[in-house]
Amino acid sequence: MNTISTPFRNVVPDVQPNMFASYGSKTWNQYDPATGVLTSNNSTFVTDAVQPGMVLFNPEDSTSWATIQSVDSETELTLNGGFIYESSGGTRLVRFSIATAAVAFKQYCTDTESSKYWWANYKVGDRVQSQGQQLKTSFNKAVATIVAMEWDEVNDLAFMTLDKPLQSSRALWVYKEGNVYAYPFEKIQAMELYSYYEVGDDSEVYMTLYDARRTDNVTIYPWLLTPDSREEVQSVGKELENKVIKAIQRCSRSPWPTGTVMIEDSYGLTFET
Amino acid sequence: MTKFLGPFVNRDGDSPTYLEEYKIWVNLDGVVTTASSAISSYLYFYSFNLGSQDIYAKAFYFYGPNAGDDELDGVDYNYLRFLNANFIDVINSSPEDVVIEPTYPTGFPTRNIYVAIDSL
Repeated sequence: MNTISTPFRNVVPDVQPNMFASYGSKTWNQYDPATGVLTSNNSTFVTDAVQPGMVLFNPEDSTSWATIQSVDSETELTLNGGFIYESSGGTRLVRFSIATAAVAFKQYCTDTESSKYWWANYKVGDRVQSQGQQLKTSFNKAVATIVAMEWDEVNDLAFMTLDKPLQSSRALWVYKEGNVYAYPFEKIQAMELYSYYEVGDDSEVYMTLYDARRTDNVTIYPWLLTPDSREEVQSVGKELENKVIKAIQRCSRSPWPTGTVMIEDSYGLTFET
Repeated sequence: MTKFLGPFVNRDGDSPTYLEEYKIWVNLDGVVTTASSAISSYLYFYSFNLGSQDIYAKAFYFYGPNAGDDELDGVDYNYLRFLNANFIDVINSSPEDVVIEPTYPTGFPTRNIYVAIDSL
């Protein structure tokens, strides 16, 4: 039986939140990529003792990140570039997170028993993703890699070092190679891509795979959950459609009777029932 | 053999400020018979359900050509001929072709078509 698949999310237990002060749920009002000046009216950078050298990133896409060069006022920072502020389709991603340089790329466990679980199950090379702050997106687009798994002998706790900053105040997922969500190809009797946009309402795009009796239907939501414009709804939908159709074609053409085909670039996607 | 015919596109809204669209691909594997009424706005293609005694159908609903239009009666349009022609295209397609786009004959009144799975 052939299947189409997405990577399986192992939910990481007992992660210590790594955000500095309240900077795990902030929004910015203006960002000038030319000067690196970021303005956030709901922040108090000076009062909160935000410091140059801290790491700032977009928790909806932390593929790249910035270092704070200067704290200019209660509501203004200057960054050294690398801050992602919109999706590739143009949707404004208004979240930002700040972590100290010491922990921006690290995830600490809070419990010794869970630390042993981390130690036994998570390895260098495994991929890690975060849910992020979720305003416009279903998950953080960035997928980090574990570059070190270590043990803090003083506190008897495990911690991992990643190659990208991730916010851990929401769910964190580890992906093990070969562990997948699989949906039987032969069940798919119809596929439906639904696109909705209306001024003043939340837009949405998703794809549903229908089985014959409609008891095992599954829905796939893209990274960008609420696109901002009609054009972006269509662009996000087209991207999702292309990925799923490509997997369907590869699965159908597979010469192997039990082949599984991963939907391309599908970290974060799941088959929701 | 699994072959998907589609997309069939159904739009409830299509303006700069409002879009509501369904794009549907239908697996034609296992279709065994059809039911059609000359005057109805829909067409049923029946299949045996895998692993059970149930029968289910892929139901095609034909709407007027513009977003939000009402369903069109079948009396003048012969939906069965339209779908049969597309099914024949699917059957004759290369084994490499898994997804086959529908073709619309000249004068066919609409491309605003919705498809649903109906259990019977």
